[in-house]
Amino acid sequence: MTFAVVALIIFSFLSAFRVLIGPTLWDRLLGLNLVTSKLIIIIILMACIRMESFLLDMALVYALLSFIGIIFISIYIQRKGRF
Amino acid sequence: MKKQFYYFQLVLIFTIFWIVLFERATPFVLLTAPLISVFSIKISEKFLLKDSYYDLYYFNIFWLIKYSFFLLLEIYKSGLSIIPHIISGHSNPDIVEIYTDLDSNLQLALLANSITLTPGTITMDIEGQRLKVLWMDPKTKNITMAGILIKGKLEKLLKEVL
Amino acid sequence: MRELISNIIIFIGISFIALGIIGIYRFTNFYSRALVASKVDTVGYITIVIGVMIRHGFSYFTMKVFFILLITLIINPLITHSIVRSAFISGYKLRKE
Repeated sequence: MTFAVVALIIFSFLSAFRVLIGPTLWDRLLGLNLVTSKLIIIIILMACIRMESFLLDMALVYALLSFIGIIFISIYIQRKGRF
Repeated sequence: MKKQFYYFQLVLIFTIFWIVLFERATPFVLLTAPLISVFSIKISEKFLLKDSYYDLYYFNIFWLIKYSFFLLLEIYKSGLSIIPHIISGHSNPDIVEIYTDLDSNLQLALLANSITLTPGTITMDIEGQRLKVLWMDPKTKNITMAGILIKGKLEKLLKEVL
Repeated sequence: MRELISNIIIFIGISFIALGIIGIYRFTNFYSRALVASKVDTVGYITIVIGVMIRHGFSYFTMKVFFILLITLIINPLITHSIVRSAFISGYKLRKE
């Protein structure tokens, strides 16, 4: 179980590296999406280890917030900065 | 009768969600759950949709369970089939057009989301009943053959929703 | 016994996610990366959540995790679709390798 959390932290650092080096803007967005989904899994596993279910509420809210953020950034780029 | 059963489904789903969020089933929670769900359905119909849920998004709960199990199977099947591409590192993505004869909004949205959810294909654009699909390794560019290969049994199951 | 099964399932899910990470460094084209990465990620996500659900049996915890799984299954294809559509409309060309 602890092994799973450590492995996921390493993977999320590797996907964050894609955000840094990505040649185009959409590569960075893709990396952001990957980091977000890994963070949600880490929160679920931590709640499973410590048996505290209020952490799951945080996972729920974080999923919804990241959805709104990424959708708005990609629509903003698609319309070239005009709304 | 069909309409009453549909609204009963919605209230049931919202009630279960409310109870799970509270994590206890005391009389107070059980009493407020149907009230809150009926209130939120009425408010969103009046101000957000300006139409009824029954006309826009009709579904049956047994059909939904059957469809999600089928979708899970499909996701795993194509998820395993994409692994050789990653290991060999070879790919030629291309855009294919397919045609569907579903017409209601809910069916089209479910079809596009299911195509995106199965690994290897992403829906890009939809105009009328034509879908633009980005495909990992296109075998044909013919409009009917590609439709059969991508949609598969999904469309046949989606026709049963009404 | 149940713990052993859930550990094995979680390990399978982590290997799926590792494949996705290899995928985003392997390909040179953006569309291939978008096709591979987030999709293999979805499969790994479903597998890990099923492992957690098996570990806890039937309880409020499992139900809450199940609702998070449902919401993510609705949200994930929408995000991928909007990123790829934004790249396509902005004029990113399809390149053959």
